[in-house]
Amino acid sequence: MIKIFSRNIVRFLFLVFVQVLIFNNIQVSGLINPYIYVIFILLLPFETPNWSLLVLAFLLGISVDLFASTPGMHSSATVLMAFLRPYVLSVIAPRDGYETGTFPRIYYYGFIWFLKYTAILVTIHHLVLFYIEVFRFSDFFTTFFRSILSSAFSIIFIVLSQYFIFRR
Amino acid sequence: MRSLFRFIVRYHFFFLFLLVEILSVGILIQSNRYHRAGFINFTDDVQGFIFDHLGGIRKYTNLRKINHDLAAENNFLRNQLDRYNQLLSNNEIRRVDSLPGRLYTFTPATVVNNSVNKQYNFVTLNKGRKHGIREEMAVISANGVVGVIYRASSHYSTVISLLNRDFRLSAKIKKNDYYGSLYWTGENYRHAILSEIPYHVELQIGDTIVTSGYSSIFPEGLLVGVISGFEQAQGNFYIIDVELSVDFRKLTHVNVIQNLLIEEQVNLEKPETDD
Repeated sequence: MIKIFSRNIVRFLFLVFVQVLIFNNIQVSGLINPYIYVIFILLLPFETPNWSLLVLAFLLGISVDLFASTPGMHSSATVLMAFLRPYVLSVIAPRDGYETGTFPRIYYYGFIWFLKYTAILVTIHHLVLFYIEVFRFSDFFTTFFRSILSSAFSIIFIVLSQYFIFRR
Repeated sequence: MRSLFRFIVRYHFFFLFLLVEILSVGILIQSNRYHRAGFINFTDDVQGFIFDHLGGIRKYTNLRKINHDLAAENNFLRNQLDRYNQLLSNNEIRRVDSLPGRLYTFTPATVVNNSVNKQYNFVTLNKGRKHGIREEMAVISANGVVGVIYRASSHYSTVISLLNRDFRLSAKIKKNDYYGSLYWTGENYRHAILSEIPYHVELQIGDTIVTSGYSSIFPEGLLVGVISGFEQAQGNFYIIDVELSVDFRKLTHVNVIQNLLIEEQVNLEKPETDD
């Protein structure tokens, strides 16, 4: 229990710094800005209480916001994502449900399951984030295109990280 | 009460989500200038839309009064025109064409929301940026001065009304051109105070107060009201009670005035800065 706790804290700090120092500086022609820090919410244990999901998501979003000097932008997107996580998990649950002692990883539930899980939540997060950033619907399709493209990149990074960094 | 409590407990996840999300969006709107501007524009548009559709009723019940006002203004303008025609035919006025055409343009607008019972009153108009309305333009009605445009969204604009304690207007006494500052005390919506008129000036109840034209927003000589009483304050100044010519309770049709040369005037009057 303590181990899970401390590992998540370390992951939180690591992801915020990687996002702020590396990924916030990746900008391919203003179209692609991957936001990979949301992996933190994806990897939280199945047993995480719902209320702490929301609180953690808010803290995560607001920490990224503080470094990007856009208070409230990332946090509103991550909070929505955390709110939807339990529902997505129950929709894509394998036939036997989730076993105790396992975590949402490729290692336990396979590539297809993890891709579905990541794709749904990351796309929702990016759509909300990009629309909040422009804060209007006049360039609807440009924003839509940007968010889909960026989420594709984020999803690739997150799936790859399953093989290299967050294996278990 | 207990069932409400049970309801909240049952859906606590959803309510907690709403709470945290509202907090985030609140932070977003509070601390990002761009998002706040977008939010305010949006709420102004929504508000304007609603009042626009409710305001139809009031407009209809006031038709008699509006007709009367318009007829009176027509009459006044016709008299003025006649006088100018007379002068023209007597060759007393020669046109000096040193100004580029007009100095002011007028845009008609309809009041969709209005209040008189607060300390800081605002009027909402059904014209906005798309119709050329910008901040700091003057607003008048057929009876006189109404206020100044405070914010303009794409289809609506809000006017900081004369009945707003933050509003000050440079006004003068028509017969002798002494000018002072006119403001509202927040008490009676028909009366305002004109101050800074020195004690030696001759006053009479019923004297007309007009705009001074020193503000670059309002043209000179627009009707503001008439003197309904005055007393001497400490020092050498009068406190003059002015009965406003505009009845803000019955405000429906107004004109927005744009000073075409305001930029030139403001640039000229700007204090020189050391570069």
